[in-house]
Amino acid sequence: MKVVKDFSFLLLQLAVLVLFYFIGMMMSSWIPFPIPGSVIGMLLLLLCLQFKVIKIQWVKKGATLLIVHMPLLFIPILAGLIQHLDLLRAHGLTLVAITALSTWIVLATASLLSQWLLKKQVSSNE
Amino acid sequence: MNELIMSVWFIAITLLIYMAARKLNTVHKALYTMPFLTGTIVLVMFLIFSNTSYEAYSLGGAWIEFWLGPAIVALSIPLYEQRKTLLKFIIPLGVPVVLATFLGIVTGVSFAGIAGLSEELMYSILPKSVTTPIAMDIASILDGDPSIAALLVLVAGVSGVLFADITFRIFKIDQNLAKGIGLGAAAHGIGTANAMENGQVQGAASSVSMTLCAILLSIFTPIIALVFMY
Repeated sequence: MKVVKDFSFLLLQLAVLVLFYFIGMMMSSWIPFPIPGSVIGMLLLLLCLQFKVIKIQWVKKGATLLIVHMPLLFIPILAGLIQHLDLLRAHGLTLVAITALSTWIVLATASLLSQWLLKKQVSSNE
Repeated sequence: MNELIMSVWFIAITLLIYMAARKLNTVHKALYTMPFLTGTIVLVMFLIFSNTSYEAYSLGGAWIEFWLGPAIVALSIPLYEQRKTLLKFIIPLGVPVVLATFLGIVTGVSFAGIAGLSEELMYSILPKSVTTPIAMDIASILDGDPSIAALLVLVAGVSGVLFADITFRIFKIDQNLAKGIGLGAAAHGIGTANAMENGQVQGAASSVSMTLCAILLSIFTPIIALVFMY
């Protein structure tokens, strides 16, 4: 019986996350500028957690399941690349080079700036 | 075959491939055995050899894709759990995240412009630094292509992790918090998984930085859309 109970709890938790997603999608269609509904749903859930409208135990298990298995969700999307093979043959290398270079710039800048600010914060606390 | 049976069949195939890919990743842990990399390759081969069109596969695939939305909502849980870290280090965390988001857009788009790529590709590169589901949403909003965006997110993640050690050595970055922030901002989920292996502080910093970048870019997107497209 415990398995059934655990499983129904998990489904209920997933249902809460889906509900927030739907509310986010609805709000995203109301507001005049395009912000992804999923992000609005995330921010709403964050607010509900912060103001204790929702307890973290109500969603934690379902959320962990989705986050751990997120790679599964990417597979169908990435497989969609077979529709773009010509485009990738023509521009694939350029796209990869641009992405890698830009990624490196972001990585170096963010960590350097963060370390500098961190050291400033630590020394001003002393 | 009836559509329902086909959907269930494609969902089952995808799950099976994913489970096998995960198994491989536990037996042989490496960047190139990441489940969505090997899983995608096997699925694409399956589609080609079984002569299945992507449209037909999408009958089942769409049911899996749907969960990306709730998965993004779920990211609020780690962010909530790390709220104390976030508030304590709001400056060393927040300032680099804002700059990183901005730099990621500007460098990606301007390099694409220099290389003479089409606008569709330019907008598919733009969200490469944020986690896949949000990057796809943003790419669609800007009229980029979601699956190319997903591929470039993957490239950003892998290259970020590959560059990390050497970059940290060159620039003498020794603080775990700073390393985590860099990884999360540049290499999102893949960077965060990598940061988590180097300890809790780095993992937490990376997770917060990744989620903040994604939120920021989502908020920037309407502005970008306005500036570039009208």
